[in-house]
Amino acid sequence: MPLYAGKDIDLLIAAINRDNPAMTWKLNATDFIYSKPAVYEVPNVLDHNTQIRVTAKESSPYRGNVILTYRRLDLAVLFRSQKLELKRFVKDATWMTPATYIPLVNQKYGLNLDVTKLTAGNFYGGWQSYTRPIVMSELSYQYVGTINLYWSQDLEELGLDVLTQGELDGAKWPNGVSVFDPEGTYGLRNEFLPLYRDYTEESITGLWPLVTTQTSFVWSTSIPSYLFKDLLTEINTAYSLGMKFEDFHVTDNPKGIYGRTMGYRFMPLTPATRLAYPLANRVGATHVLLLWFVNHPEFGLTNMGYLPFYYNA
Amino acid sequence: MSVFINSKQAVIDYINAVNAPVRITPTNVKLSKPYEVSGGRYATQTLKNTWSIVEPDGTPLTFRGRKVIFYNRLDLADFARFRPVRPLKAPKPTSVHGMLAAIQYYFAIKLSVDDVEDDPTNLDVDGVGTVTVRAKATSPLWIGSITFDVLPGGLPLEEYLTNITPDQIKYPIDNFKTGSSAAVIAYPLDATPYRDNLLIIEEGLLHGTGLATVLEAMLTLDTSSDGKTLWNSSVGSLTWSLEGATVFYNGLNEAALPTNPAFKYVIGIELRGDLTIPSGRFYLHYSDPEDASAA
Repeated sequence: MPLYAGKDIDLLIAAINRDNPAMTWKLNATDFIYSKPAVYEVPNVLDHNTQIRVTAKESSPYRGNVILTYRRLDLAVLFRSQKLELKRFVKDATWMTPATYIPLVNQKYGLNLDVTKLTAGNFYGGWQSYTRPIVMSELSYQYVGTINLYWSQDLEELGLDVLTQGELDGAKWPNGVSVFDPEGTYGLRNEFLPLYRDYTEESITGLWPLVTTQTSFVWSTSIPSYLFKDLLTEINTAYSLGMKFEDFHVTDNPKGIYGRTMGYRFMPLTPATRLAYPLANRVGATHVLLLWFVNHPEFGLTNMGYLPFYYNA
Repeated sequence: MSVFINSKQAVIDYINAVNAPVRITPTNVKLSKPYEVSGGRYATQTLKNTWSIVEPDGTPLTFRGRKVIFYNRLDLADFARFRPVRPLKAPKPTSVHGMLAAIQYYFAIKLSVDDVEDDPTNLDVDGVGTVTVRAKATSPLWIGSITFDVLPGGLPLEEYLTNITPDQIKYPIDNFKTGSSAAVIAYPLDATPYRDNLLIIEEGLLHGTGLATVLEAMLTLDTSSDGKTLWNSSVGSLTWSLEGATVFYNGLNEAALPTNPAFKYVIGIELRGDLTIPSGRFYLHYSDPEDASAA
């Protein structure tokens, strides 16, 4: 907890209650009227310097009133031997008002200065330095006096001013939602499909002409059936599966929700695409063809995946 | 005739008001008990409801002889005619005399124990109920009775709030020699760069490498106080010296401590008692540094 916290009358009420332990019902902020604090002249700044009248409201268990003498904290005493200074980076030079910088003072020094109970000047928060007196109002129950605030512009703080977002998206699974189904249209929230394998010209000969003719980003939601058959054969061989072309019938979609069963995407491999498509990150290749497909659970696989075909355009 | 003063004084004031410049007082006259006019010997002489005899009193006597006076005593029930009676807040009185102060406070009627009977109140355990205030036959000013609803409350604040000079709004250090507070100076300082050396300092006298670490931290981090170049560890130095300081706490920051919540650890240090500038206890704050070398 800071040096001083709460509303500026809270410490006074707490002090009264602490020093009057015999009071069965304690004072609070709502059931009593606290008069405007009056200066009580004393020879020493550390003596009691303030008088107020506390009057019981009807809602309290008490009647009547009592005049109290207590001590408000003199800012000049509090900051004796010390400059009250703020160094702060202001991105866009703007007028700094007490409402803007008094909270910064409180945060730095552990105080609870109430901006409505003081007067302090505005200044233009640019690269200039300023000195502004903070003058406590007579209405403050806790503070009196005046203290100079020394303001200067600080360097831009990386953590506070520059990199304001520390919560990053971070790494993603290669066939995560953002890759295949960014809208979540098909409800696909799949696990990693183990079909990450490098293919070469020799592995799927039927696709290679298609690959090599593409040098820019192309998106397709379907794939020619002859290529599809070649691809199924290749996948079944590589992963010891028995997927049939009939189960991926594209046009009448007999398996329900998986309307798009196969497609391809040509992409140049740039830093952005490598980041967006984590599978497409093979060092040395300049382009990739991503074949994506969806199958059904009865084939023993999870239900989506990519096959990358790397090449140099 | 005021209802704010005691009954006997009220009657004497009434007498003086119509007999100027004669000034009688409770010390030089006495009043007999009051008598009802109705049905008595003066029933045909006055429309007032009360008669009484004024006789000299005191030593030496100021007056001689006696005088019969006629006046009206006030019927307590009439109170409701000029002011609506609302519930009376009183701290669970057991009898009428226990609530006379509350009646005076809330209704501005000063009744004394000589004016009203000390009948019991009719309250439940919570202090809610009624009370009937009944004038004594001997009251110089009052006749009749009135019944109030009673609610709990009405404690006289001045009887409970007796310490009227609370002193608990404290500076971090009350020191007539200086007033400057090490706690205020140290509050904004971030001693995280010294974390490893601070964390191993044990409670007790600050000495050796611990003293050197704190001294270096203060000289480096304190840029806004007079002590920014003056902190020292000189034996016997009366200003800005850490020599003889003691560590009273070193560990995790806690909400109960008067510390900066932005930090994980604090080390509490109490400066030597005869130090003049600054003085008192202060906390140096530090956290675990982030491991940037792994980046």
